[in-house]
Amino acid sequence: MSLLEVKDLHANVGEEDGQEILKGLNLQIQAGEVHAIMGPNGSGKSTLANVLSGRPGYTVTRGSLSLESEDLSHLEPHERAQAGLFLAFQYPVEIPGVSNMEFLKASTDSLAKAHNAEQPDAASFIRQVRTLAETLDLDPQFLKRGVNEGFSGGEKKRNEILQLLLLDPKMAILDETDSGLDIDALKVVAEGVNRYRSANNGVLLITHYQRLLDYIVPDVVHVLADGQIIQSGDKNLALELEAKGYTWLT
Amino acid sequence: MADLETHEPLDLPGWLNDTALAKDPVESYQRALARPARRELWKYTPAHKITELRQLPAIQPSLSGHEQAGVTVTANPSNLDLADLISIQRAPEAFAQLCKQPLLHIAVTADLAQPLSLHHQGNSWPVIIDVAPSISMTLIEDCEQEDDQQQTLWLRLGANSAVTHARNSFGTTALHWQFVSVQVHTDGQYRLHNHALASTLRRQDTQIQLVGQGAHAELTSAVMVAERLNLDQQITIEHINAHTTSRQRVHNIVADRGKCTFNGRIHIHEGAKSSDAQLSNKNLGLGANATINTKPELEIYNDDVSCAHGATIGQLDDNQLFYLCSRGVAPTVARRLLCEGFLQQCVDGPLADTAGSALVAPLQDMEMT
Ligand SMILES: Nc1ncnc2c1ncn2[C@@H]1O[C@H](COP(=O)(O)OP(=O)(O)O)[C@@H](O)[C@H]1O
Ligand SMILES: [Mg+2]
Repeated sequence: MSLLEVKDLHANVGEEDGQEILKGLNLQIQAGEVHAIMGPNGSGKSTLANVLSGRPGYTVTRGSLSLESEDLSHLEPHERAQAGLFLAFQYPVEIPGVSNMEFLKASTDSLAKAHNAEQPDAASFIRQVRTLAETLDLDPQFLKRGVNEGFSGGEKKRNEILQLLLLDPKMAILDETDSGLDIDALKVVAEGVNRYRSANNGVLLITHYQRLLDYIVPDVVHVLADGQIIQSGDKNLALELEAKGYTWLT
Repeated sequence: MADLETHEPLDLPGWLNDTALAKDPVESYQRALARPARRELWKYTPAHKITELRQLPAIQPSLSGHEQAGVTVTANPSNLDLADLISIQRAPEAFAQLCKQPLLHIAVTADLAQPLSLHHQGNSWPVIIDVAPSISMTLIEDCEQEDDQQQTLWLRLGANSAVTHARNSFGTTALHWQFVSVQVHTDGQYRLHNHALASTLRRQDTQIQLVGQGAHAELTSAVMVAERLNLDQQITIEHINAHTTSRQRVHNIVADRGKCTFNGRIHIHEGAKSSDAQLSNKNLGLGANATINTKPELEIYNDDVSCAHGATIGQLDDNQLFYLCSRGVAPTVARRLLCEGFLQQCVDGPLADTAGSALVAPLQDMEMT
């Protein structure tokens, strides 16, 4: 059983009659694997991430997507998260007035409730989150501020990784988490992802640049172009892409 | 408009004889009632609903913090110079209240370590607070929740003084009028933190005059309107002198069949060179049956000003909702969190803790679909 399985996925933006962006995409990720998806701007990388996580505004017209054999296509976004899917956003959303801590507690409690697990008590939860923030070089003061409110680009991305480590999903999709990061921040983010990796979970790294893959070494690299995976290989494929550009393949 | 014609005779108080107000008060009052601009102020709330509250027996508001050094409370003072503080033109209804009731005057002449609190229990005596120059203090107002009531309050901030004024109004079963008129002198700073639920009818009038150079006013207001309740908020800030600044942040949630009116008027006088006024009003409508009237008004009589003035009416943000849901939070919980966050942005000051929970209480039993 694959951890994540995407079969012949066709998806449009908007309704049934919208523009087709994903045009028959196939992907299988086993537990313990890291896959990278690379591709030029506009090739459909974020669309794939959004469709997997159930973002409104897209319509799946054909094909299937499943997590540990559970069909995701009929689940609401929060149910997909409860099933173990996590998306690190390319553009994390600001929510003024809702503190980061409150947000993290609501997420943790929701997942615990869905799994009939005990919700952590407030004191130990705060300690856990503070410790995580420190390991990611995030000032604990950020936890009191509104969710991502006034955070720099790098801080927003590190906040996504904080959530990844806190919520510990089965399958993590990281949409260009490396973009806009300087090399130090990139290392912090990569370290966080490597800490998350285990034999029981999987990572789908969406990236535009090979650079990230020096720090998070993928098992498989895919090239996405025009809504399809046109080539797959090992980490050397990423180096080749870096050297030759995408036009070499398309 | 029938209510404009109900001119009851004024029973002029003794102190009026000593002030410039004594010149034709009755005639000024009649003229003020007939002013066309007054119709705008009472467009969504008939004035008679408010003026009728005058018939209720007058009750002295209960005070605390008034035993501190530097606070002098006088009931029915003679010899008050109120001519530049009280304007019949701007608020004839409040003036009529002054004429009808005993008056409480509070002079503050030392920095106050503890807040001065006014607790209203009904048709409160009008209150005038005179804050001496360079004094800083906190004023707290709250009210009994159940009964029809009204409060009129005049605040005079001396030069360089700083007043933080926090007000909670959470009764939902009454007719309630709250009138505040504030005058800020040179480099004085006034901050109002208003937190309110709607009521059968809650009408809040706030008039702030920045009369001295460098005077500053800041206002945050968080309002929750649910069920079939009503809230009508009228705020006027007048920039009268140079280098005056004002900041207003007003967030309202209107749900169910609630009705919310917000009128934020900024008036920049000719002499208010290099002034800076900002007003942001955001309204969140939940459901299809809520009514929101918002009208930011700008009157500017000189070129050398900076003004930012915006009002929006909207729904919850889809991206924010998706972000929360993508972390496993159910949509109903996520919506409630977003509503709370929306109000929380305008909850501030010494009453913030109690206000936060009271404001969001109506959301707890609401269908958040
Ligand atoms: N919500 C949307 N509305 C309209 N077009 C969209 C939307 N989302 C994506 N697209 C289009 O789909 C294509 C793929 O976009 P995207 O998935 O964001 O690409 P990538 O992440 O690979 O840069 C682009 O042509 C983009 O304009
Ligand atoms: Mg993208």
